[in-house]
Amino acid sequence: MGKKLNEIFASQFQSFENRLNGEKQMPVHKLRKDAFEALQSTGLPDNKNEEYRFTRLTTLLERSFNLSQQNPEQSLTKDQIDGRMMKDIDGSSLVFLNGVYSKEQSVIASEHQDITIDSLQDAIKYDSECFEHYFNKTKSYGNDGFLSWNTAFTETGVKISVESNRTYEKPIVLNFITDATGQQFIGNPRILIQIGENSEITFLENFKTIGDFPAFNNLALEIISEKASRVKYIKIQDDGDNTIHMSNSMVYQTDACNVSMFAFTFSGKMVRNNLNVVVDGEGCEANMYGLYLLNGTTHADNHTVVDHRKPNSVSNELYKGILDDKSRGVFNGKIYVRQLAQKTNAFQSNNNILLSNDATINTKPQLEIWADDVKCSHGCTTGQLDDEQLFYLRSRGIDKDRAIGILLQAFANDIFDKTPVKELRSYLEEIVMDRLN
Amino acid sequence: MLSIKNLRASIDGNEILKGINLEVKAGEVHAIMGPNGSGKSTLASVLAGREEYDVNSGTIEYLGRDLMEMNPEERAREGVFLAFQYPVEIPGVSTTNFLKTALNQIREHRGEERLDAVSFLTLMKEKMKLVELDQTLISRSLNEGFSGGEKKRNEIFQMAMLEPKLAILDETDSGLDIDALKIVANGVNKLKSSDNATIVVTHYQRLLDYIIPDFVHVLMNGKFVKSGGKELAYKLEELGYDWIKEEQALV
Ligand SMILES: Nc1ncnc2c1ncn2[C@@H]1O[C@H](COP(=O)(O)OP(=O)(O)O)[C@@H](O)[C@H]1O
Ligand SMILES: [Mg+2]
Repeated sequence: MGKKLNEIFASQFQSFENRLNGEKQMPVHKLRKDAFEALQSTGLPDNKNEEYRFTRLTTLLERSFNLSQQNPEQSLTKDQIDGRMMKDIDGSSLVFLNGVYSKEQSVIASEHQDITIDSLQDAIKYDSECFEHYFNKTKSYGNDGFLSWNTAFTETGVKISVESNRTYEKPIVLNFITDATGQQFIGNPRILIQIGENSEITFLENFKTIGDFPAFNNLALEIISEKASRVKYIKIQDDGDNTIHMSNSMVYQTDACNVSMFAFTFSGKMVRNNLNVVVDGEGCEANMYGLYLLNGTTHADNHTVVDHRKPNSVSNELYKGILDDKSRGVFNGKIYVRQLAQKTNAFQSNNNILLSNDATINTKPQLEIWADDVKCSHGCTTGQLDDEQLFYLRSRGIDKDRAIGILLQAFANDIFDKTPVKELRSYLEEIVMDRLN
Repeated sequence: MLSIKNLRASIDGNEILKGINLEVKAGEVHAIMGPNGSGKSTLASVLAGREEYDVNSGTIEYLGRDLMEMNPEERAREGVFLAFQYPVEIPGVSTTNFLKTALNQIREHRGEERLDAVSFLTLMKEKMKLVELDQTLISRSLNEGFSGGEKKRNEIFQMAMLEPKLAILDETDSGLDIDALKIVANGVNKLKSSDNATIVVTHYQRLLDYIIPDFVHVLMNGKFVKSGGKELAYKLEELGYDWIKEEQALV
């Protein structure tokens, strides 16, 4: 990225500030300004940046978008929006239109009535204390240019607060609906979730773009998980082969928390997920699961970091990929075990099946361990389908395509078995079945 | 039913089968015996349609059709069944689901209705009894963590479910104790009829006490070197293969 992009961001930030009036006095704006400075100095990552070596997102953005163009007002009809919801999931459905939380379109389940759900704009205005306390506090390592971009322009999104000692059965679905019907769209939605002590809840994130113009969502999400809370956070990326998606998900765990994260990627032009988990408590469990099922020329990159800062916690990571056609996958898993974090157990594994000679995967574990009394392991495998297994199924009368489907489904089952929400599991299995048969 | 003429087959450029001739008619049981490495499993694999093997010359006619023209699933649907010497483990695939898919694809091919869940379960129960297979095994992943004997029994259970016309049992007896051997043999015998045929590959005579062959063929070095009735099996048991080797050397 050159000077040009810097100038574009500078002029955008200028007009953003002009629009803000009184809000410029708010503490949050200080954070925006800091992020803007960081963005100006580091820029968006170019291909010399080690973390983005295989994923040339900035180049793709420059090529696909007019980055100085203003976003249009969204003009979606109710029918268009309804068509993109995850209908079969029984729970609350939050709707974001071009990143803006729409109370009118959202449906809150009765069991979720006592959860505070505010648009980010409202949270900034009316709940500045909570906002100040939690916003942008979970950043763990390095300065990601995309995160700086998001923070500098933070305006749309939602803040969700769950009280202590509540257990919710049903999930909250966050539907991000993007309008690319008349013009390109670039958004920086921000989600801030705070889970009170000893509470349990599930979130599900779903992105849908309507229209054929290029769309880019640069999402940043923070989850602050208070003592002994149990959280599941699921991301589904199946937004068509045109979309470009970036997300920085930052999870902060305190004592005795159990957080499970899932990333499912089925389509997109380029998808990059940064998942940063800070285990800043004892007796925690962090589970990170991912499944990417790629075809065409889809490029999906999962960069995960788990940062063990305190003793006696466990992290499990399992990412699996099935890559067909000319798709490309990237997996990078960092495990940090700080000196203080004795008796940490950290496991990581990444398994891939390549269905075509043109598909590629780059996988890299990175373990940095400063504590001496720990158990860590990692492993990655990349291979083709097992010929003997395939022949066995066919020799019983099952046709080749079906047999391949069965084997791939079995490969993916590890992840499905761990996925919460029954309806979600069937939804995902259906996607996989459709794709594989 | 099956007519193999002058079959030569190789893998990775090594010729393993060097001119096989075999005629199998409906209602017959053929035993194929021979020392390790003589090509018994290769022949079984070629019949089942394993693509790694190159058939260099010769013909295989099955029920009036050219078997080599058919892919493995088509052969299975037309009634060819191979009980593998080393059944592969498939984690994440339950035996039940796998068999339901297989059976329904075979039924579809025969122009029969798919089996509904209840009829399928009933059929499974009945066939499980035949080989005294435990219910818990069936709900687990296919062959995963099964003992050698359990794997073999699972093969015969699948055979019972799919009701083949031509069953090829590749060393189904190896790794079985005498009780398990009887159970498996009993299962095979119950499935026998005047419409189907069985090829039993083994290198012990033991199994042939329970599955009585009409013909015994000795495979050596990729060729059948001797054929006879079941008494040939006893002779092999008693004398081993050396006398045949000597006979061969004289020719
Ligand atoms: N992939 C292969 N490449 C070369 N030779 C092979 C391969 N697979 C099997 N063989 C050889 O083929 C011969 C016959 O093997 P097989 O049919 O398994 O014998 P049997 O079942 O009679 O013990 C053996 O000598 C074996 O080493
Ligand atoms: Mg063999």
